[in-house]
Amino acid sequence: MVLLKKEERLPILLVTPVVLILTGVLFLPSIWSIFLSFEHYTFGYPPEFVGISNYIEILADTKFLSAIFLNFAFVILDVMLEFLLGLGTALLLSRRFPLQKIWVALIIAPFAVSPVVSIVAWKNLISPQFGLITYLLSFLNISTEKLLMDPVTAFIICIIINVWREFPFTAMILYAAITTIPPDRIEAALIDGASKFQRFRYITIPSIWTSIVVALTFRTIFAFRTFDVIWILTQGGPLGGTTILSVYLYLQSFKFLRLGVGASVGVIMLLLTFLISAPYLRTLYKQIMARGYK
Amino acid sequence: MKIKRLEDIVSWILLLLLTLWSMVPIYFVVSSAFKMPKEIFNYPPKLLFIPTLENFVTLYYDWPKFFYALQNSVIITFTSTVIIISISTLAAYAFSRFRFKIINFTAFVLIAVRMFPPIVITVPLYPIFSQLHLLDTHVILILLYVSFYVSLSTWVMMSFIDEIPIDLEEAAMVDGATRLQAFIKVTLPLITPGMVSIAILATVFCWNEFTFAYIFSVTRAVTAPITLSEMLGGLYGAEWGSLFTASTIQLVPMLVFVWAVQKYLIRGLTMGAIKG
Repeated sequence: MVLLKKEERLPILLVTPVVLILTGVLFLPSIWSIFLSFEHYTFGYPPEFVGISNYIEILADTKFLSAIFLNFAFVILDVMLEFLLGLGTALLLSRRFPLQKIWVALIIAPFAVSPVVSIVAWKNLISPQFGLITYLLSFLNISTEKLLMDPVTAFIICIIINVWREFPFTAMILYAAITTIPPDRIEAALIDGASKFQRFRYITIPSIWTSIVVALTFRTIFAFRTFDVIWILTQGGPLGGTTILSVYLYLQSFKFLRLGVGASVGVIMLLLTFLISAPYLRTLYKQIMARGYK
Repeated sequence: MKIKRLEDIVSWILLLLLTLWSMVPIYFVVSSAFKMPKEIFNYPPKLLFIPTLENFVTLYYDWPKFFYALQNSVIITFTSTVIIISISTLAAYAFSRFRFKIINFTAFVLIAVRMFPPIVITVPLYPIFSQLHLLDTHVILILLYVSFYVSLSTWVMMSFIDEIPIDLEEAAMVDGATRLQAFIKVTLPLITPGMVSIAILATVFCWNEFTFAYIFSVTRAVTAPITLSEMLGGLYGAEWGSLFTASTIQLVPMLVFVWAVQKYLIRGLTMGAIKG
């Protein structure tokens, strides 16, 4: 404290609690995690340095390679569907309906539902004994009996449930963005005789572009690490068909107690997350470092 | 004129479909909680029925564990949220009002932390917490929830404080108030909407969180989502009633809460995502 200029003491003091907690819970353990990834460390036994053999092991493991592939497939499908549904919702709601607030409330409701309860809800709907979806699909002669026993359909159901729970985020952000488009812009376009599609393409989209980019970035990063919904529904099965990276990490670390291997998966996940978020972080960095006194 | 009519009809149909997509899964959980255990198995499922509280009674006698977990959830969520609001308001005030290099850089690091995948940190933390005999305690869950939510909260608060002109505080200080008094009397009342926003986001997050609670709690510190997942895992026919009832109890408070303060929720989310 003594080394700081007097006017810098108060702000430093104010951020100390946050910095201390993050250092203790996040930064130091992360650094230790990097060391762990180079060690053979089974929980309960002393760690032993083994160089890059954990990395070599997982890169040769077909389950790990399949986890990377499934992870990317999951992210692409999940984020795409959430975006389309979110944008559609935002556009539709921006037309404004009578009782607008109630419609918004009902549509964003899944936002409040926990991962566990969303699984309970969807298991109810697809229950072979009494599910509503089972009943509706029976008219098309489709049975829901084996949906969770087939790797492909189980994977699709994980995505559907995740989209259901997460699309309100995108919908709310885009809806808020659309409602702040200045009305005179739209009027000007109307006077110029712009068609619906032209208005959408040349006014709506450019006006909400930042929000679109941010929503997509955030959802990509968050979808990439999905664990809860998948673990609760399928525990990575059937036949590893829903084992994405987070599930693979969990199995290695907490089922087989191989924390060294788990740590190396963690480091890879961290690197990939960093790569995905790099453009966003760069913009953020420039923006924040440029903050001076007003 | 005709096209306008058609458009209206189509948009109403879409609105209804969207509402069904969001609400049907929720409706079936909540309504099943009030069905007679036998009625849950009606096929095709009935939309209307005479409500009963039988499942609530069964849940109460069969799953005392769930109510214990619920109590843990309340304690952990409340404590975490209070800590998150306090320390992130302090930090946000510093970031917003004092702008020099170290502070700006700290702000950046803090916001960037939000990108950190939670599951990655469980690996090194598990042996550490085990060594410190902290596994299965409320404290570690609170610490983890605070760590992973101060980032978003601080940013949202920062955007709110940025919008309050510093002149207001300076005027109060010219009138003889200390910086602290100026903050409490002038700025704090103006940023309560921000505090409400982060309180909602933090509460929903802590109340629903699964991964950390699943990995770091065993019996003493289990939260409601964990007991629910246990009920779901050990499911045999007769217990659907208890499961839907417990789910309803876990779900409804958050739903009502989110609906009640919807305006602040949307504002908070937007600020957390867009403004910087």
